[in-house]
Amino acid sequence: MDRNIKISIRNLYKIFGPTPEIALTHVQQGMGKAELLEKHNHVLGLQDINVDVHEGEITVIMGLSGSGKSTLIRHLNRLIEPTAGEIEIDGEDVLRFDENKLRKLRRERMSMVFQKFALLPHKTVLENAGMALLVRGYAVQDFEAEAKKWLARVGLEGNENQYPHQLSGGMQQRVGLARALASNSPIMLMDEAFSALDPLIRSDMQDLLLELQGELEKTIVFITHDLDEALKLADHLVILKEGYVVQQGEPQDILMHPNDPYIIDFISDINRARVLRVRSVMEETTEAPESCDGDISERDNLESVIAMSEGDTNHTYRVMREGKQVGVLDMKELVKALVPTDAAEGNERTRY
Amino acid sequence: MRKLTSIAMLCALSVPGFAQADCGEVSITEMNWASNTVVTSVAKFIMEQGYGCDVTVVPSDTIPAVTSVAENGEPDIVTELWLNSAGEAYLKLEEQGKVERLGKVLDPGGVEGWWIPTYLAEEHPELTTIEGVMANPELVDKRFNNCPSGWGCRVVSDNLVRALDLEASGIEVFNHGSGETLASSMASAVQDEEPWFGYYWGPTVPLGKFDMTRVELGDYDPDVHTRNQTPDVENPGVSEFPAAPVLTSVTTDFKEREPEVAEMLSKLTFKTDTMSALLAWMDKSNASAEEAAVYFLSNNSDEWSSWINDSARQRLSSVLE
Amino acid sequence: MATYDFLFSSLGLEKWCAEDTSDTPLSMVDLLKKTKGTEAQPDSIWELPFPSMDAFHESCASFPQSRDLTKGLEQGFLDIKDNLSVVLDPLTQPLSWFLDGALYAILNTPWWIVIPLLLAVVFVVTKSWKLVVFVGLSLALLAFIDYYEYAMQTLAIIFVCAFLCVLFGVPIGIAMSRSDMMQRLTIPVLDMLQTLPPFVYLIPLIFLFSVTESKLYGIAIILYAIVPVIRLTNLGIRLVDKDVIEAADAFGMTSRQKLYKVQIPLALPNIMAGVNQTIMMSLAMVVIASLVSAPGLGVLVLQGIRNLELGVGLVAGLGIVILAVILDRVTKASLARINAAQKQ
Repeated sequence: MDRNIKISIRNLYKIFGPTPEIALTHVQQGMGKAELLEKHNHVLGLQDINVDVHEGEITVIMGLSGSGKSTLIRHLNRLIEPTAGEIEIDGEDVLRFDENKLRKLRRERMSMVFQKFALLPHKTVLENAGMALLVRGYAVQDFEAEAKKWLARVGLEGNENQYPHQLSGGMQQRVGLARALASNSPIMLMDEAFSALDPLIRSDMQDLLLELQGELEKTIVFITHDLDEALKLADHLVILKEGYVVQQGEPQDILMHPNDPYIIDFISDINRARVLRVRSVMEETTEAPESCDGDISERDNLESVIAMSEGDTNHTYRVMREGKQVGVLDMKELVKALVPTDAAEGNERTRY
Repeated sequence: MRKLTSIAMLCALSVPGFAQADCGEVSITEMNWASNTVVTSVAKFIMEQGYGCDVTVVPSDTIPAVTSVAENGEPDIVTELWLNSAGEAYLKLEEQGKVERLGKVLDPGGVEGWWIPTYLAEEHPELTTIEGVMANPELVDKRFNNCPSGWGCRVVSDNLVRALDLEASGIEVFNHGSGETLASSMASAVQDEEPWFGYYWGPTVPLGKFDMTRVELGDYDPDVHTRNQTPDVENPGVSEFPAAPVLTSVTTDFKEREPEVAEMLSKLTFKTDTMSALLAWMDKSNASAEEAAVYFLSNNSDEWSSWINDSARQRLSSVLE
Repeated sequence: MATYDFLFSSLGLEKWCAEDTSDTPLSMVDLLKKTKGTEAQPDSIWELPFPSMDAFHESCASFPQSRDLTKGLEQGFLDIKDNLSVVLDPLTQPLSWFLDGALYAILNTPWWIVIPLLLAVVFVVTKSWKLVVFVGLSLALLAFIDYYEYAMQTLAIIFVCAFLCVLFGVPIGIAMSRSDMMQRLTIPVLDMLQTLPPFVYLIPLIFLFSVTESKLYGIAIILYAIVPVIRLTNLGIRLVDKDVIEAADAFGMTSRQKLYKVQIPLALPNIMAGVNQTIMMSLAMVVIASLVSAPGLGVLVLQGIRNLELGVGLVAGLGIVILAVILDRVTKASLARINAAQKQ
């Protein structure tokens, strides 16, 4: 599944303070975040970030608050200027863009969804949805059809003439989503887009996003602090801690092979059976198993397999992709995979 | 601005005087114009140093002072009371026997009138009469600077304007909102040697400072002038302003309490010319009104020594020398 | 002998001090000393004068007195006033035209046009019949007691001044909100405008312009009343939700689009609160404006005070209060409508 690299972030640094350039040399010589703050009173926001965002994928950047994830996403459309590094979009160096080019980039190639919705309170839902088009200079009647289409797509048919304050939080964020979609930009930046919503509504919105993504194949950069959300949405997962990338890769891969106690700690609480998929734990083989209790898809999660086996660990299943066998899953292997990685040594770790 | 500050009592620099049995606490007004500060300072000095009174100076204005006397019997002494401004209210107080006028504090009295700057009069001698002004309105910038509304002089001036039919001659009557703007308009015109024509009165700092020439309105006719003092009188006439009586007035209570001091106050009279000279000196020397009082006390001792009794003269001998 | 003689002698300035031999007027304190014959007594530490200009002058005649400072200031002003008036006079002339025009218009239009017109404006702005009735009754009351003309003059002056306050105040407020430097520079000026007694700058203005110009009181009112609209515009724009601003940036709005489509609309409740305050403050200046010859209810108040016509003063004061209540209710009602429209 090799896709084009849409956004490429190279050696990105961000240091907050009066003289970031001087602080940068300290950081490049190996000074840590705490020391920099104490000795030079500069805050190290981002440290040597290297991430490739592939076209048509959802790249999730996950981290706790203060990890720099919101700072990072704001570098992509230069709401925040980096201290050092490169950001390329479609091979163009965004940091060299002048004001006009940058504005064109923001207007036509990127859209953004915000944690606190950030709708215009004095405009109707329709005008909000069409904001990107309004900004480009279209009149309301020009973009009315387009905005209505996307509002309907996110389930807000009939709310067009209401004002944001008349809608619930979930509905407001649907407007936020419609606003981003209506801009027809290939890249969508989503900054903790669903974090402010109730769990049930959040789950609905995640499903809606996946459904739309299946159809639209946008390049999405999604910020979250919620691991379940990250695992549900991510094609590519980047885990940030204190401004640097701890680990990045395919989510299943990270779950199976965490390379840092921080991540182990992170993933120790999740429901692995629901998140892990058959392809991550199966034995890859095209040979037919000795005994076979049925066929399962490589995309099935383990929970559904356990349900199918009714808890019997003696079963073995054939794993299929597009009608062909790609592997074999022994229920004993499945149970082993459910044991959290390195759980035994986790006693002294503190919870974040 | 003629503010209502009568209520605020200000204890001015009180010097522990020679305690003297026959003079206790005395309150005296200080109106907010320069000549009155001179008068009050001189009176205060003599009362304190010569008679051993404990003097409180009450910053005030004509109408508030008269009202205060009527309602509270305080302050004891109202000096430089322009009878024209105090009006009916004061005369009523006299009738009721609450106050008594001791004498003119300015002799022959205040001057009121319509003025033009002297440089204008020299350039156009015809402007020194009202007929001349009305015949050449453009020479006075076609404007008459009238008294602020609510002032006693306003009624008279308004009636004079009607009697003369001033506006028909092409002169616009501009009604000032306050004495400050009236004075400023005169000052700013004189600074630039521009034409100016309007009402003013003296002795005041502006009239002491600027060389002004009176525009003759004709002869003084007491009947006409009295008639002109009624607002919107049916048949206003033309009469020159008389010298305005400017009095020192005390409460009858005070006069009984401090006859000696009252006797002195009744003699306390400044020649109008002396006062004008004092005000001019004040402006020239960049001095305060209080310093003008000191200047008067130091240089005109022969004048004020005749006001006081022997014991006071003895006490003040060091100054009188 | 004066307290600070030692200072000048130790600095070797005696000669310079002695150059100026002109007399300074004897002060009352000197005279009292002379009277009491206490001059020979040494000064006690309790009577140590503050080392002020006057105290130094006493020791050294060449040292200027503080009154020389004020005198110098006055002279300085008189020296530059011609140049100043060449610039300021034409610049402020439109204000006179506006005021004179408004006064002329409102006084030469019959009451049966002016009152319905005002009521129509009230309705358009507030959409409240209750207020229309209230304003109608208030105006009728003022007219019935023959204060109509004065009230209308006051109203006309306030309309012109408040309009100009908004016209200049809002852009200044916007400029302040966009630059912290500008804010730091402007705030002390605003503080000064609100505390400086108007006559302090009005008298110099009379020297610059003719006293008969209506702009004099216009300036007095505007300088005082413009402050809240500036402050609240600045505050309103600064208080606009940062997230919304960020969204505007993220969607590529230009600064101009951001200002007109986001910041001003969202700051409108605060700006309107500023307008309300501005109108109230212009009304508060009516009496002071009358001291510089503004027509209207203020003249009656002054007349009432000066002639002790308590009744006139009270009724005119009440008229001002009625106008204040009307203007306050109307602006508050329109403010409430804006607030209701964009509750977040």
